[in-house]
Amino acid sequence: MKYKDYYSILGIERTASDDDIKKVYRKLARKYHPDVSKDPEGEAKFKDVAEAYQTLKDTDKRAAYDRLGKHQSGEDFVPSRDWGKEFNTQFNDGQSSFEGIDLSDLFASFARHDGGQRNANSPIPGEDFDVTAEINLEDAFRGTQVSLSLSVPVHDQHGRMRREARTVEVRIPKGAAEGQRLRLRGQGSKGHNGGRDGDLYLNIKLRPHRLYRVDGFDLYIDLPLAPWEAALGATVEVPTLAGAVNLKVAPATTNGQPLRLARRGLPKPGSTEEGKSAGQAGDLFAMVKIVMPPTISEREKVLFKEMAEASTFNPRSKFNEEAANAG
Amino acid sequence: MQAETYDVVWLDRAQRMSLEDLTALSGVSEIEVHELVELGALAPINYNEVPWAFRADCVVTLRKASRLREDLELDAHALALALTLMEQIRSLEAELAQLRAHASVVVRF
Repeated sequence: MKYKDYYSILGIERTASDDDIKKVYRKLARKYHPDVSKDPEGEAKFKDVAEAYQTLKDTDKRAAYDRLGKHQSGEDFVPSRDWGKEFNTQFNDGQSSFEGIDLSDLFASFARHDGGQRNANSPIPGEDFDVTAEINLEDAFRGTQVSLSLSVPVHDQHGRMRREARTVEVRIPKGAAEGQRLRLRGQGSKGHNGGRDGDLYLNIKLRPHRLYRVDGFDLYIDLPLAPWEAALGATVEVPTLAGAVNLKVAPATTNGQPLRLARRGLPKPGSTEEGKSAGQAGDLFAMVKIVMPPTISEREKVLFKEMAEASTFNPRSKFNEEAANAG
Repeated sequence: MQAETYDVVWLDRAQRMSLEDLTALSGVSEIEVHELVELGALAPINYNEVPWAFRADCVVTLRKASRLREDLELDAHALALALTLMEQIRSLEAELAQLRAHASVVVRF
């Protein structure tokens, strides 16, 4: 098994007191806890910190850990048979091997066997898993299937725990939005000795989309309009997740105006097939963005000039009002 | 390695969940749920309806509470405070996401 240096993970000396261990753990836990930390590596770091603390906070486990000797982090090593006899009843039969077991599993089993096998046959509930699945907006719209790779603890007939790779294909129905949670009953790790099976909790994250911005089940898209389209009105094609639709833009449409396309957003959970549950979807808002052509031709210049001369419109009339009031 | 296919249950505000299911799924005891409700960190759908029912997304909050209590060794008051602040962060993040979605230019902070 691979050696982990629990002291260096916590950044403490091997002689650190129980109080120091606790203080350092609490500090690191606040920093890296996945429910608190924004650090993408936080979860992995917290796992290491928690594993180190679980062993070092317990006087017996710490003594057993210290007796493993000092090795390099990541170095392969095997505890001596004497160590097994002295500290872990599970490995004192002279037949059990340490093969395929990692250090955290070793100390987890240590806890169960500590106290004279009292828990050898008591139910062990399966582990719950919390997994984040990142999906495309199109997949959230249609429903999709994701493949999750999990490292699952399994118990052999002696109650020993090992980890196995398992792939779970999860069908995510329509109705996924950012931060939505799903529960897969019983799809965590298997319970042992009649303990309940764990559950799998899935946290949905939506990948950013090149066209749409997402707010809950509502979608927002920029709708670029030429100045003359905004002025005169136009029928323009707008892409939606279900295909393009024609949108009628009224004359004298202003910049930033949202044009609502009802129920063209993301479907809400529990929505049945299209049409059967009208209203069970967010809306799509096309946000008007009046844009100028990158280059203006001579002819366009002439027409704009003509318009400038003909128009009495003052877009900054408010400036004058304020100046008048101030004066 | 074997691939298996499963269906799923949504844990969102639209789904109801009994107090019994909530405690079973979150690993938080009924007494602790009452405590968190008293401290204002959690709310049943209707206080007057006994036994209480909750929105299904409370499972997520309570599972978080259970992890925080255990991993950060928090007492009930500290836990309630942490959950309340986390809910405020969640709601501010949702507001920020909303503003970003509405803005036609990407707002960077």
